[in-house]
Amino acid sequence: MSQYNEAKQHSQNYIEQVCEQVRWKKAHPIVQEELLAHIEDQAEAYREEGYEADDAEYLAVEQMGDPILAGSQFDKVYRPRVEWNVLLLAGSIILLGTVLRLTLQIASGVPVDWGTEIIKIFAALPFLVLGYSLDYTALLSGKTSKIFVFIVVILTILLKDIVQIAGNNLVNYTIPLWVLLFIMTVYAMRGKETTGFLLAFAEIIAMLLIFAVLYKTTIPGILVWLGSTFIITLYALKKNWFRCSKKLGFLFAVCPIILSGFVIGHPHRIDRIKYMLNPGVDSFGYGYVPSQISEIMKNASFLGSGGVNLAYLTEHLPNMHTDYILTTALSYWGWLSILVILLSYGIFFTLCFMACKKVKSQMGRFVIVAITSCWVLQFVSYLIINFTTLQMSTYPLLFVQGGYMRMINLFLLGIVMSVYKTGAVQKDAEPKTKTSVDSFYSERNLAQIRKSDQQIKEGRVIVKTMDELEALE
Amino acid sequence: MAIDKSLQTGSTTMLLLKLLEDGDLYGYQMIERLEERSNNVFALKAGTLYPLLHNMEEQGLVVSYEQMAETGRKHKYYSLTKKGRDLLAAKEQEWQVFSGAVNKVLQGGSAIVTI
Repeated sequence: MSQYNEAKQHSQNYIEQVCEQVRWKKAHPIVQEELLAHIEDQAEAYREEGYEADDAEYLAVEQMGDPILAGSQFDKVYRPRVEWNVLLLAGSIILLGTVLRLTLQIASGVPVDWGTEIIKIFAALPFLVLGYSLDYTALLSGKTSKIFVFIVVILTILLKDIVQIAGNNLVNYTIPLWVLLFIMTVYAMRGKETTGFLLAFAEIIAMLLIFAVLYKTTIPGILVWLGSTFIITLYALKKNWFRCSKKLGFLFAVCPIILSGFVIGHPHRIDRIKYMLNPGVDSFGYGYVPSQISEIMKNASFLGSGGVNLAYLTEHLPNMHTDYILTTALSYWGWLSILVILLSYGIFFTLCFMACKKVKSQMGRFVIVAITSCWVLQFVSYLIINFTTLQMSTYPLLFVQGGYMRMINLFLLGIVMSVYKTGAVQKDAEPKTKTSVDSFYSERNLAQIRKSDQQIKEGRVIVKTMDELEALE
Repeated sequence: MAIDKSLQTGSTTMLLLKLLEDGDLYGYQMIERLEERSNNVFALKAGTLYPLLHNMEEQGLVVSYEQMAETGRKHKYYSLTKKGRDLLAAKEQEWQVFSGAVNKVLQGGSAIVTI
């Protein structure tokens, strides 16, 4: 038997020599698996030809050829991948978007501090690197994931108190991070039956209540939370992650959305619907901004300045350079500029979703879908206040404005890039679950199958049913 | 006899795609079948096969999936995609043209009569 162990060691040495040539460590598991499977297949063929087990093993390894040569072939092919489309488009949106935003500012006579703006962009870059090097797999299990949860919770609690000092509700900014935490829950629950689903569902409701009631998060924040978790839940149900009835699952997924109507629908917010439908009702109070937006939209032209120019905006529209950048662009450059902007973001979101196809890990796809949903919903909230009479507070314009939110969004971009990086080699870990398939291939059954194979080969027994197989034991 | 490597490398992708035309196979099966069908002229090494398969998958010519065999061993099967089938057809045609031309030249052109 020890000769056989030596032979096994020989195989192991071969595989190690191959892996030494493969510089990217993340690819080692997949290379080892492929080579090992191949050696075993070859050894089995030799055993069938009549060779002894250890000889078969040695021969199989010799058959593989030069390990250094093989290793360098693997090294050429298994490289971390950068999804340049997505990265470059994001970069262009950040740079061009910032330039356009600042151009509008200058055109309306507001001085621009280019130095500060450039520093703000550079200050966000380390977060991109952090997300990329952290690698989404670290979030799924182990120490790093626990540290991440801890940081997000502390950050949220801290920002809650700072909210009283600053004008904006900064807790909104942490919501995309909570979406990542939600994914971690979904990942932990995979393969579990209805319990897992109910836990995820409970998390959605619990956080909804905490955000809406305790933290008084604004509507866009709730939109991002509910929207992203809804999309993730649907995706998980579709991929049978939860293994519960799909109709039931869909019903549960819709509940938080209905609940949110009660939670966020208090008089102040319902009034907003009133002003949305008829701004004239209170044109100097809450109806003021909606009626301005309405006015701007009516007078805008396709190309160039419409009936309403920048001077008018400066006088009548508050926060035009932070909250109403797109409305300002519309007044200055016309609808064509808005089309170009919508197209750029649209292509970016589409590229993100489409690059999912190259990603083997189901979990990786989840992460991409979740993060892209967060981005889409942030962008949509900005579109709503810029082009409709429904006014509320909003996320900053995605990537282009808002230093702190940009840091968080670039961190998320880093995570997305890390998913693409390992796309072809990262496999999902098998969930620890008892299903009929898994129990069929339990160790006991495997041993029985091998034994009956052997006996059949020796021409001794013909087994027709599982019962007869068990009777052999 | 040993065939010059440069003649082999270009057509290996086409040969692998052809093997998959009739059904999904895993790595070891592909090497065996290639040896059989080429009368042992093509003896592909595992170290060449797997990187090549990975490349083909990156290009969208094949997809892989894992399946449990009856013996309880797990194998990674490869399957042709539509893109793979189209490329195979194109490469086969290319090969017909190429090999046809080479054969004609080697036959010396004695059948051609010039006036």
